[in-house]
Amino acid sequence: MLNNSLSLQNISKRFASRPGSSTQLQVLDNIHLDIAPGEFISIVGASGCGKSTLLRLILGLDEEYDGNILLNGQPIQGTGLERGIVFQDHRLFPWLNVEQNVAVGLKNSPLSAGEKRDTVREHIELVGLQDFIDAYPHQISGGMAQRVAIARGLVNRPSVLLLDEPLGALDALTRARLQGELQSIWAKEKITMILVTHDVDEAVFLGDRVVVMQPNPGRIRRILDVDLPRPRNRSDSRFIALRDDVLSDFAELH
Amino acid sequence: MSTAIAVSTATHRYRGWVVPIVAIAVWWLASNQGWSNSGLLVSPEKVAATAWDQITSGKFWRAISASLTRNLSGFFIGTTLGLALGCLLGLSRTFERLVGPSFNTFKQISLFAWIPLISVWFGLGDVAKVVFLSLAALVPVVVNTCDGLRNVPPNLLEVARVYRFSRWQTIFGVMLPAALPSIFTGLYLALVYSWLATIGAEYLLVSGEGIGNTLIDGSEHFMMDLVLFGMVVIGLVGWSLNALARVVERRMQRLYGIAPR
Repeated sequence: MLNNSLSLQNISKRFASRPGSSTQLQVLDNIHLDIAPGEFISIVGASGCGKSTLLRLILGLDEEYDGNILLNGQPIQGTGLERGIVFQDHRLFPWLNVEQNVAVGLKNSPLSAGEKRDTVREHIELVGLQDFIDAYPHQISGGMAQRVAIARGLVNRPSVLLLDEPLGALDALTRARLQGELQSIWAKEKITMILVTHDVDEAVFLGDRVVVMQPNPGRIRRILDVDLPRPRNRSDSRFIALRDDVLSDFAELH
Repeated sequence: MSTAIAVSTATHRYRGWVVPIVAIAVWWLASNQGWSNSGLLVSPEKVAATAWDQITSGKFWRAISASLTRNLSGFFIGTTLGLALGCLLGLSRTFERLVGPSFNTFKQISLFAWIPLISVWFGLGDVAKVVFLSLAALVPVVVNTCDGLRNVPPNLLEVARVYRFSRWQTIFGVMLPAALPSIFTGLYLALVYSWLATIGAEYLLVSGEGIGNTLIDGSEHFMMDLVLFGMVVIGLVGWSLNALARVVERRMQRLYGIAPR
């Protein structure tokens, strides 16, 4: 776990707008971003700006793109256990309970069975679900299921954790609480995290830097530093100023 | 307040019995009072007496065990072959392209249309009947297994890719568990169809013993008491198989988080 920097160099991706058509959509255009180890990056943008596509490229689910994605100096190839993800829909396996679902993250890990059990329990405690260890996904709330997904994403200690609008499907109260929990988990685990969200508040609350993306073609509009101490205070005047600054980008796009 | 609720729950449970009891009462009156002098109207007592005779003389046990043995044999053969074929069709694109179109045509042939061919190839005895039952069980199992495997949520398959599941890990860890509710539907239908086909087979491939044969004997000799007895037995067996399937279904629903109906 030495130098886990992630480097996105000249990333571009095109989709044909209709199958077989010659007109192409430029989903991502020359994305360039260097992420330091342990950094929390928030990527914010309206729908269609390519932010989720970018995550899928980093994750390795999609391998058709121009440019280079380098982790630790090495180009990535396909999916890898060093890059984890929390999806917007929790994607837990309905036939497994909480403990077994988190253990899915360790399915192909070289740890022994005892070590696996211990680290699974550790991560379930990290997200505060130790009382629900035997529960099935249908027995727990959406917020709890998403916490299980976070535990699963962290359990094999990836170098980078990607979060694709992880709190988008939750109600506002749960979302606010989980944002706080995500902040403390990040502070504790010190794993590089890349959060994609359309919620500017969330982006400023959690990120070291906020990357603002714009659509058609998907491009980085600008990158802001969030130079505020943690834990962040949403009522702080500097927080509000930063948030309004980011929001102003979106007002202009109309 | 609570006594009122207790009373209404009790009457609610017994409401279902009103129609059968009234029907039997009317039937008894009709035969007792001689409302019809047709030889086809037999009294409830006669049916009960015939039932008693069938059970104590051992005829009933021979018939029902013959039918059930054939039913279970056909069910197991059909479902085993069906699961194998369904898995191949669901998991292998090549196999699906080669065999799929033929199977889709094959399954359109109405089950009972196979009887003439089966009777020519296998005769009218037990072998022919079990072949017919296996066919009845096979088709729903193949269709539902294949469907279940082809309709695994792609979201979950992506999770398997993220955690670098091998092909076997994906099949056994994600696809088969995800397809299990569908596979179970196929098995349940196979159970229902093979019991229906058991009786049908006894009508159409007439040689041998069975509860269906008992029914036919009764109808050929105009012994309606035997016919009614046969019908009650067939209904009870069907009901028990159904109840057994529901028990298994409920356990699975609890596991998959579907609210029990």
